[in-house]
Amino acid sequence: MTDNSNGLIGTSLPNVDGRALVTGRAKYTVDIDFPGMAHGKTVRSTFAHAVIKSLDTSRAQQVAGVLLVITGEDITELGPVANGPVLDMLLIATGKVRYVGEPVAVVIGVTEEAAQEGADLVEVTYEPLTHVLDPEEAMRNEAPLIHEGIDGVEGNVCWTQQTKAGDIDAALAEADLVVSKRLVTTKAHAMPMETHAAVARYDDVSDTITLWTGTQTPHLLRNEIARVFGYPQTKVRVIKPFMGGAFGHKEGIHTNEAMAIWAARALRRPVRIELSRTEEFAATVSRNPHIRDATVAVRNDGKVLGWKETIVQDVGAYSGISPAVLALSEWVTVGPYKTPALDIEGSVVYTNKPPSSAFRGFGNPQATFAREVMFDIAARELGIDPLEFRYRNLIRSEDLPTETANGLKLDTLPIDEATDAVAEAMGYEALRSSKPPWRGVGVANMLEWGGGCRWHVNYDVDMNSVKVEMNADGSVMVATDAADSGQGHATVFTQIVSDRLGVDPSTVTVLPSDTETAPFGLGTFASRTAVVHGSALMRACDTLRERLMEVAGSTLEADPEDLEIADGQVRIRGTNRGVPVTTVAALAHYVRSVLPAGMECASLVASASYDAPSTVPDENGVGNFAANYTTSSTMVIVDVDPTTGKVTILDWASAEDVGRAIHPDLLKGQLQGGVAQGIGFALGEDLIFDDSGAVLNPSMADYQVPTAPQVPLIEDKIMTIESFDPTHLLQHKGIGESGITPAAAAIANAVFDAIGVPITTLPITPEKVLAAIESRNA
Amino acid sequence: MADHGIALVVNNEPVSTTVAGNRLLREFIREDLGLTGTKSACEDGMCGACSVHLDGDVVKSCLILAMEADGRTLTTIEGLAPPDDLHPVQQAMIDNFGFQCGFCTPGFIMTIVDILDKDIVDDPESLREDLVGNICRCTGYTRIVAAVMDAAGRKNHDR
Amino acid sequence: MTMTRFDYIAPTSIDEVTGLLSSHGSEAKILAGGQSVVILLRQRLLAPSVVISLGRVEALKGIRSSDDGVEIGAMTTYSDVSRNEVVNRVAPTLAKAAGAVGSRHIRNRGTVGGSLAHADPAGDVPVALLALDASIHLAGSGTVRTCASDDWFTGLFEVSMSEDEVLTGVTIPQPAETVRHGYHRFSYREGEYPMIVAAAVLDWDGGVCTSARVAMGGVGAHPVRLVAVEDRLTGSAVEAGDIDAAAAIASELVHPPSDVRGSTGWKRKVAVEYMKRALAEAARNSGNGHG
Repeated sequence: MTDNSNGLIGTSLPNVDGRALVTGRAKYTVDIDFPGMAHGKTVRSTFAHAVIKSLDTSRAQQVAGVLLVITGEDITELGPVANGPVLDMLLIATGKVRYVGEPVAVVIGVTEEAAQEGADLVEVTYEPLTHVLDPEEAMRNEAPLIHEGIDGVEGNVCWTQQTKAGDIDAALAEADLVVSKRLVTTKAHAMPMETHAAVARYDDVSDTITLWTGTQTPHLLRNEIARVFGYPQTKVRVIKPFMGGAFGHKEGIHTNEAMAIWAARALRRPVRIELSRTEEFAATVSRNPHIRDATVAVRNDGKVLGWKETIVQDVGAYSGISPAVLALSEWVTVGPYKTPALDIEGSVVYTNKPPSSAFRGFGNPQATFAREVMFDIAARELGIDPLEFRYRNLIRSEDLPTETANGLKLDTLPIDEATDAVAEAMGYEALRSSKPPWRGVGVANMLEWGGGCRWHVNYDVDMNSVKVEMNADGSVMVATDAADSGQGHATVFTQIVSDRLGVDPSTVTVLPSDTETAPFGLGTFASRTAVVHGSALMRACDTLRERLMEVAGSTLEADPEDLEIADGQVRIRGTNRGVPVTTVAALAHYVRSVLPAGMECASLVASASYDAPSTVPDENGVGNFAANYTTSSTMVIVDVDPTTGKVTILDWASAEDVGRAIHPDLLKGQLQGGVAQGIGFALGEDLIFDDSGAVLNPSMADYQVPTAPQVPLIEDKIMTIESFDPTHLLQHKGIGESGITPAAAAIANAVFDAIGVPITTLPITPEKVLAAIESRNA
Repeated sequence: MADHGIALVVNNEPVSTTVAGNRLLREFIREDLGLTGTKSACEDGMCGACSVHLDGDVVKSCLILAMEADGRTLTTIEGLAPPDDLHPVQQAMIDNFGFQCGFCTPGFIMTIVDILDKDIVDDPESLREDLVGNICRCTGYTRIVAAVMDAAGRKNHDR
Repeated sequence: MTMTRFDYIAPTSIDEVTGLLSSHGSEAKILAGGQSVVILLRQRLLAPSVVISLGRVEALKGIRSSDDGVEIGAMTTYSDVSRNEVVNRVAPTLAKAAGAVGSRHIRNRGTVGGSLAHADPAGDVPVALLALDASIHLAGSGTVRTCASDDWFTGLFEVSMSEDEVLTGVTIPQPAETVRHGYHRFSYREGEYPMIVAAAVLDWDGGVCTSARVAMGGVGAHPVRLVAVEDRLTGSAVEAGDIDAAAAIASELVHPPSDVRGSTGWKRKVAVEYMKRALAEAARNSGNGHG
């Protein structure tokens, strides 16, 4: 659709949650309090790999105010949880522990203080086992086995994924230059401002469970709770209050959620379990680190002929959704470039570290870092300007539509336009010809799923549903499981409803994400909500719109085909004759006689689903795994202090294909925020482990999340390109992950330009940069 | 150990109650006073989500014992503007999309109000240096800076 | 983590404080601004049974000029120090250090006395006070004494103060008008604790450095003076060659601990570089012909 009934789509409606958020009155899970609510604290493993010899809870039980101590043995009936294809994780470790920080018991007390005191007194004795922190060591035959007896897991390799297309041997044979490098990325932590928190309530009269939790996937969580607790899905309700950030960190089921439920049932009182920041850093999921041994085959003219790579993905102790991280990483590895041959083999490998999982960008920041750094190395070896090297390989507008070697179907992909835009915004030509010493400019392009994806293991869907109901006064309620954590879903949905149904935005209410009101869906991840929920909402609104037109047509004695919605009225096109939408709504509810034949009263309610037209790739990883793809170009200018190695980012430009901008300011916010996270990923964010497997930097003081001065002010140079892609119903693309994906690559290339030495591992610490400078001088 | 008596003015209302010596001001605000707009997001004073005003100065309520506020004047995000009204900084945050998830937002607003009350803000670049006490994970800070500049401009205009 | 339970006492006079200290002994912990102590309490690295707050002892607050120099009460906040006109004129190094601490929130609470008593190895204010040759005043039960900043730092978070003493203030000697200051700090990321702090206070006569005090933080267990560097600079014009020679000496003297931010080797290079920057600043406008 391209019409725009009230002009609201494409404009920046004030955030409908703004008032609640700026006044501090928005309630997050951590703000929920019930009379008699108990609190939980988790006892965590102090060993990376050990047999639990004994677990004595007697002293903890005696603490005044301790209500319940839950151990793994107590909850064996729950079994392993399915956060991904490999059922390798219990909610509380039983028998042995596999990382420092793994839950071994949960203590419930009347206050947090009592629970903590109890947790401190749970006595666990361990028999240490040899542990392994390095994924390549873990792949060796002699490595200690972290898991045993799980189907499909061989040694410590829990999953493999290959992506092969074209003739890689021919590409390597034909190449004038073959560059091989090892590229390494880090275990960055998403660090949402709100830690994991859950409040559970059990109603023994109806035998129902209600869980308030910051989750991205309310229905999938509900279904998993129902499965492990043996409840019908109707008896489990998951409500997502305001959520203080997520970024992939809050998918699936978590121990605190399940144990709050367990305790609420056992104690018949509400229970809250909130993680501390230390626990969050030391014992919750983080980005999958990649070791990528990449080879690129290039002709003397800069033409890329093929890409060959092995990927070792360090998944930590439990795999969760991480096999999909590897798959998606491989599928976008060759980016927005014509690459006739690719051959990628990846392994997901267990180590004795906290689990890795989804984090904004999924596996794409890792892939983009590898490719774009390799391209700069190859370009400089060939004596070709890095930007020119990219131009020679880009998929250009005149090539579209096209299908890549690994089966991605591209209708729109304005990467040539994007690259032009950043080069112009930054004055690339002038920069190349003269810049001060120790200043560098770097470019990185990327290709990413344009919202949603399909991966074959858990389910063959890429869908969401919404329900829209217009009340008798014309106000509209939207029920959806879109799990907003700051994106502004309610605002965007309000725009769409207001536009399609001609109602004032102030009369639209997007209900909180709640499985009791919202129809089923997969939730919010993979940049999918604006496109997948948004398209479902379009469908539901269009159904309602048709009914409004029919009722109005009947009232106005006009053919519904001749009607339009404008200025809050249903009007006969080309005339002033119309009836307010609010009146139509009242008639539809209360006046049977004006309704067209076959329409029941109060039928201004519609549910709709949207399953994005993506497909499951084949066993070679070839297939159109996302319905469409977005692309961007990023250019960064840095200064390097040659005496300390410290990198300062001076300026940033990026041009992003957004399909169509529904809400320009919220959209830009996603890009700006992603860039800041990408700057952190590039310059310092990493969980650092000691030899025993303990995290050395589990605090904001030591984990290098950017503060304001590290992030340049980026406003006008974040540019959006509207490709009006026909795939989704609003012609838009999901861009939630686009900011972070190319950032580290662009910064690494800028540092390369500044110091003359490529940076192939993250993070780009001052010490590393100074060592690189000294290696050049040596 | 017995609790201590504490009397202070919270958001223009006198409050008199008792509190344990080891109670943090942040927990006193959130749990005892029920003012949950003040947030908790770290354990080491880095994040600033718990920022409040104590006797007119912005402070981090996670680094102060509740008893330190005895006899003092405390303002939290809930008391920044009368109900149904917004402080100009709150309005500027809305107008500039200076927040996303909103969890850090009350702390940022309390800090920004302190900056605008005491300092001359005319340069967005150097303003970033003055925001180091608050961490935002969502926005990348640019729109927060824009909100401050906007609010500063309105304030100067009103003078 | 929740703090252990303790009693909270807020005396209003120094005598009351010292009385409480002598009766509670090692069970007591003094709370100044609390910006470090509260974290330590929360981490249970401190578990006192009594916390004695100095927040209501008015005699410990304020900045006064005297014939001896500038006296700063222990409970004077970083904000007050950094904005104080006298401090900015007489001891710009201290003003800069106090203004560099943490964020405005921390500066509104953190105090000069607290920072000296806490003695973080990379504390901005302790390093500045050491470079400024400050005297530290203490009160005990019926006693008062003064400790030179040179003698103050004795180990990692250890200072020459007994458990029945309270730090009451510092005096910065009135400097000659010919004194110049340099202060530079490296923090890995803006807003976090500094990794390296360097302060230089040089006196000049006719373009020649007549005395030097150079102090650094983050290079060992506690803030240190680099006496060998001072000796090398004294009598020189502190030109580029002198600074390089001083840097060579300094690199033998500094031993920054290896941690999550980097190795000792790299940090040493940063430390030496930042010392050079502090020296260069203190040589500017000195009349040595290079500023």
